Amino acid sequence: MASSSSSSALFAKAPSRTADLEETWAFLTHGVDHIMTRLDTGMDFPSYTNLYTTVYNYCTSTKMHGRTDSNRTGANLVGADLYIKLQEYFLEHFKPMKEKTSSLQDEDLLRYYAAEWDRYTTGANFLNRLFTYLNRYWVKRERDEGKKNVYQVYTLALAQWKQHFFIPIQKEDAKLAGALLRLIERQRNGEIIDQGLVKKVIFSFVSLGLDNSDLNKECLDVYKEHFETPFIEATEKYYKKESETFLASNTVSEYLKKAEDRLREEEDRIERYLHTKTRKELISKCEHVLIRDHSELMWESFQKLLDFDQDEDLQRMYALLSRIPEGLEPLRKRFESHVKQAGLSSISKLVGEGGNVEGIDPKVYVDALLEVHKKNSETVARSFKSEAGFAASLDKACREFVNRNAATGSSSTKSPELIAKHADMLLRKNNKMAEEEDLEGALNRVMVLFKYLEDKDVFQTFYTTKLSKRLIHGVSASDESEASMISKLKEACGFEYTNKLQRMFTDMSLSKDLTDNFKERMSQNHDDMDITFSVMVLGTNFWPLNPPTHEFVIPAEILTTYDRFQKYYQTKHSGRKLTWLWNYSKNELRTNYLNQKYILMTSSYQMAVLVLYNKNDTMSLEEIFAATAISKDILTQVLALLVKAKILVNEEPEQYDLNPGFKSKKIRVNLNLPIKAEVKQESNEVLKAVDEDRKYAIQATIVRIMKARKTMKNQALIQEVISQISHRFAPKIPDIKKAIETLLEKEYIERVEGSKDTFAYVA
Amino acid sequence: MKNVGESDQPIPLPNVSSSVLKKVLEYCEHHRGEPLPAPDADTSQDDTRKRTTDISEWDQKFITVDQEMLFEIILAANYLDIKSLLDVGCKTVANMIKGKTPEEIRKLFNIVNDFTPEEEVRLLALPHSYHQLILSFWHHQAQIKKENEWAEDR
Amino acid sequence: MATGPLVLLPPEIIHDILLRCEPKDIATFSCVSKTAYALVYDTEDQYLWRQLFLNLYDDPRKSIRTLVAKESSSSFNWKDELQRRTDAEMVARRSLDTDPHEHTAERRKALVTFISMVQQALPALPDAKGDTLLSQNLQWLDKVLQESRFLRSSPLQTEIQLHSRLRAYIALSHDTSPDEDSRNSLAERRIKSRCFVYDIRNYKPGNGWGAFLADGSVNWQHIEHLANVVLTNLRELPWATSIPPLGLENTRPYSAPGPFLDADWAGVEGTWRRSVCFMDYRDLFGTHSPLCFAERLLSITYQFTAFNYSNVAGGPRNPVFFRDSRFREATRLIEVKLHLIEKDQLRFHEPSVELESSSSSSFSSSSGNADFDPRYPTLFFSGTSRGVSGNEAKIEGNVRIGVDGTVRWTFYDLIQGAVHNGSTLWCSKGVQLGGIASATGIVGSWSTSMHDQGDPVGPFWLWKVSHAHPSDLMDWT
Repeated sequence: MASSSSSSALFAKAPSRTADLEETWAFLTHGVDHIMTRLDTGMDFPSYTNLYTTVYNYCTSTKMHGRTDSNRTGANLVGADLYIKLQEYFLEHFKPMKEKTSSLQDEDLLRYYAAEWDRYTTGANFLNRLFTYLNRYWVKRERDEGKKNVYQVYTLALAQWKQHFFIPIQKEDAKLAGALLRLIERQRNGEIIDQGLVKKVIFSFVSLGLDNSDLNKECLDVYKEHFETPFIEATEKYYKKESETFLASNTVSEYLKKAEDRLREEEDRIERYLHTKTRKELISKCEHVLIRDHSELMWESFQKLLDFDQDEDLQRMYALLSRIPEGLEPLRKRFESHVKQAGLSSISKLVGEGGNVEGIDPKVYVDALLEVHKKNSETVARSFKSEAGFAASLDKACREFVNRNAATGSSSTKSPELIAKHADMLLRKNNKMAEEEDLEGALNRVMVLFKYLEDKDVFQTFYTTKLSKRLIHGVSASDESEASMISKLKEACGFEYTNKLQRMFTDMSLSKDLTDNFKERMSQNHDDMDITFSVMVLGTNFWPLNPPTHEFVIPAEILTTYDRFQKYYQTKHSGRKLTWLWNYSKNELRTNYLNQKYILMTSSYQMAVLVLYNKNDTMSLEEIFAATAISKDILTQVLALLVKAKILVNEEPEQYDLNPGFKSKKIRVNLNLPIKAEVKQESNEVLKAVDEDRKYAIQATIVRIMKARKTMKNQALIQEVISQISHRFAPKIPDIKKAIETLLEKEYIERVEGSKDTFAYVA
Repeated sequence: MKNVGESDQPIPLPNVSSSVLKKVLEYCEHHRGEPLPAPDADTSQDDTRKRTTDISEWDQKFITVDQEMLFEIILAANYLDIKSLLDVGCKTVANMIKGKTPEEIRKLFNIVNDFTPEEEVRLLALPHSYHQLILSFWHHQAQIKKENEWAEDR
Repeated sequence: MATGPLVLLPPEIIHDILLRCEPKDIATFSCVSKTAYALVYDTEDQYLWRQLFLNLYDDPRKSIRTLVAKESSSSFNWKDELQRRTDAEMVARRSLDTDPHEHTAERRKALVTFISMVQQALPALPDAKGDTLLSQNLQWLDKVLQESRFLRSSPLQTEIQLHSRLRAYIALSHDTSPDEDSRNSLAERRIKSRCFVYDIRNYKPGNGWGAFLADGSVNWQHIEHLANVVLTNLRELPWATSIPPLGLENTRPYSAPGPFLDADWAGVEGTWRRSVCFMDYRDLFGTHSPLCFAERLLSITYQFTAFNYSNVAGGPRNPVFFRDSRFREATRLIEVKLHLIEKDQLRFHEPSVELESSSSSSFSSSSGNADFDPRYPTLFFSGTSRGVSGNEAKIEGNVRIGVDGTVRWTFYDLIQGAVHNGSTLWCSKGVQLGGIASATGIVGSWSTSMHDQGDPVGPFWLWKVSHAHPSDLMDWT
């Protein structure tokens, strides 16, 4: 055979068709060896055919009539002895290879191993085809029969390689794995290595895994045991050391960059030469060593990054810590207290050291709150990718400082009041926000703060009061803006919250129609309507307005109109009762007693006083009181205003004379200024109304809960009330207890017999 | 793997005679271009579910040859690993066996009955259901035969 | 010895040829010569027999069986099992011509074999290629049972359980012939089943108040009657979709609409249809009321009126009762939606009276006895039940493997505002017909959980439907 390197058949002399095992194998073994060791010198077709035919002939040689000898009855398939011979051949094949590897180390070993692997698998592939017939019948049947350690020839070759070549090398201090790991470490240190070689060796480990229950299934046992596990260990050790050393001489900001780079590199490594299944473990190990183990340090330096607005570093820290479980929670907590602190100190600065809480300007207050919110919500969006947890921290912090700060003190109603007042300013005529868009934006910003208000009912009450003033005094900037604000509130708190507000608008427009219709009717029936008259009919339940607490003598000058309207209204809505709100009405009077004609804009009380001077030039307090029936404490204030405006003069005590020398720079003189008692009262009244509303809200909630649950324990009931009602305001526990007492008295609920703290619903 | 599969040399096929080879080539020529069954697709489930004895018209005509040639074709298909042809061959032989009595099978395939009469009796007394089935089957066959004879006699 | 070319073929080729023949042909072939005999019977491996078996039947290694470990190729005796089935077929086919009393052992063995074939049926899950094949076991069995009419004859006393079990699996799917004889015999069977199902004496502590035997295994005779009553009622309904999937194919494991989550081995999660039947005496006693009987109104979600009939002289036990044209039986179709919960999430529990009165732990369904098959731990579920009127009731229960390997379902309906303490617990116990998550579903009986004397009972059927199933809830009387 030594001479036959030409293309003439290498294996021309095939054994006969009935050759026995010895003869057959003697021929085959040369062929097998040629394929396994010298395939690069070629193999001609006739030789291949001869080898194939020899296998075929042997496997089909058992003739039913021919062999009745003991071992081989005709019914059984032939193949076992060929299979055993092949197994033995592989064993021989490894002997010189093993010798060679024992003298090799590191890269040389890997190179030799990889080259042998190539040669071996190529040959085994070829053998597999040569022994097709053995595979087709004998092997298949053995496996069908449940013999899981019998393989197709190619798989057999792999199993033999693993058991008799691979494992022995690995037994020497994991020589192959060690060589791989050292090479990878060099790459981590920045050297260039032969990645193709690493990949080839690693993937041979993958090929060597055999799942005996399903050979087609990829099995990573060998890869995991001989490479992945030690690789992960080595990775951990490497990065543990590196990160500690690095942090000893670098800042956290620099470390963040380093860790990010290393993680990216390891991702690349997986792409280049690792099995993708390793990704999860490798990356999570790296995250552990590079991030988790240093998370404490990162958390600690977070505040500094926030203080100096180090956006890029914040982003990086967020990205890294988001990779480990619980990594972000400490950041969120720190961020929350950071925002809260920022809000508190901003307001403290505003209030100043003097603690001038009363004089605080709503606009300045609102702007300060918004500024803190804006800055930090930008941080959430930019540095923390709008992550929900950080958004929640921001909200929590804002809720805290919006409701409780230096300006509010211990009052939970101050913030809603200031914000409602600010909204009122925005919506009034003469507001500087000339452009619609600006106004809309400002209203949206009010809503940002509104979202954080705990006592939304306080805001609601103030807002309602302010709105009613805007409407009855006609000082609202525009209907569109009013509507827009109401729809925002509705969106935030639902229909119920804005129901009253909307009804107020309805009343306004109905009143306008009513006035028009009334005037038209009057012009048809009478021609003595010399008083310009307009009326607003407002639903008692929807308007936060109180009728006068005293009698009022309607001046004769307007009495006719008054009576006509009363009648007219009764014909349209019989049974409805009209209460005249003199204290909110206004009038215009023209002066005829002066050279210059002035128009005096007055309240009804002022008008009632002034018309008296049509008949008298001087009057005493008693006379005026008798003529108007306005209570004295109000009357004195009304008169004081007129005196101050120099319409009347008060030279003698309790005596008021008309000033014939009245002069004013303006033709239209506005006398209708709020009297002091009203201003002070306003806030208190609003708060009283809120308290009243809350009492009923709590009671109603308790009744609703008890109706559904029938019986409930005290503690559980209080919890439930708090959870149901806190979207409107933060209820106080004593208030809830009081409400329970009230309901017990009214017998809506009762105590369950024999139990101190269980209540039952009384149907 | 130089030289493999690209040689111009004649390929010796020691196990196939030229007349059989010609037949096999005819088959291959006709079925050229048909998709090959995927290797390893023959799990036991597929083996069983596809075992029908339907043969296409062309194959039927193709395989209508004398017994010697039939077995030669089967052997050649087996040797050359031509699954579809082996399939056609096996189906054909199976169709020849079906529904026959042991004696008819012996006659058809020229098989010598090497059971002794004692063995044969013991065989038929085996408790296997198949043998009972065969017994009833033969019994049934014999009756039909008798009836037919009776009818013919008439 | 001159021999023809056939036996000169390698044995692997001869096996290939034989596998294309009928078993009968192979038996014939084995008688041809010694060599042929050896080829069939004297092989070292089981290849030929295994392939032969797989030609005809489902691969038992792929079956899903409770209480039985997975078959392996070497432990399974393919030849014996193949012959057992062939024997069973012959017994069935001869049954009409032979005296059953002379063949008790063979008949019993055949019935056991048939039942084991249902248990070993290939699960109706898609294979590697994504196809779901028919079950060869069940195709074969259906054909044999139909053609042999084996189950038409009345069974021997000793084989009633086996016989009924098979009949329950088939669930009247063979009784669809429109001819008068068939209809008459079906009508007779319906009366017999009603007598059994509505006989209060068949529900007692000794049988766990349901279709069970004293040892805790299923009373298949009872199950068959329950199935008959529900089915004959459902067939009178105008909607075809209101009938559960019947026939042996639908008894296969996992033939119910999926998907099946790993934790949900029984296929609990999803939408179900439930059909509940009960007697309605309104017409019968509303017009003539000569009898004095204890009356009890139950206002439950299903809002039916049921009466204590166990005291009625000549009551439901008597077939005459059901022949009365005024007799009414009502059927209610209900939609049920179930999802799995943990055991400690259960909100209502079996009344303790049940546990006390039951001497055998095999009846106590939710108490802490160990699972009979650790691969299939007891699952707990809750859900809602919605009738045609739209009322929702809460359902809670469990599914587990019983002592005999059957899949058992127990559930409770909590109905608000009924007689006891403002709520009544109804208890239903049923058995899955066929394998785990079979399409045919669960058949069983319902009663109150208190099992008070005089409480009503009736049959129910519960089967899974796909989410898109047409809503055909209804009441029918």
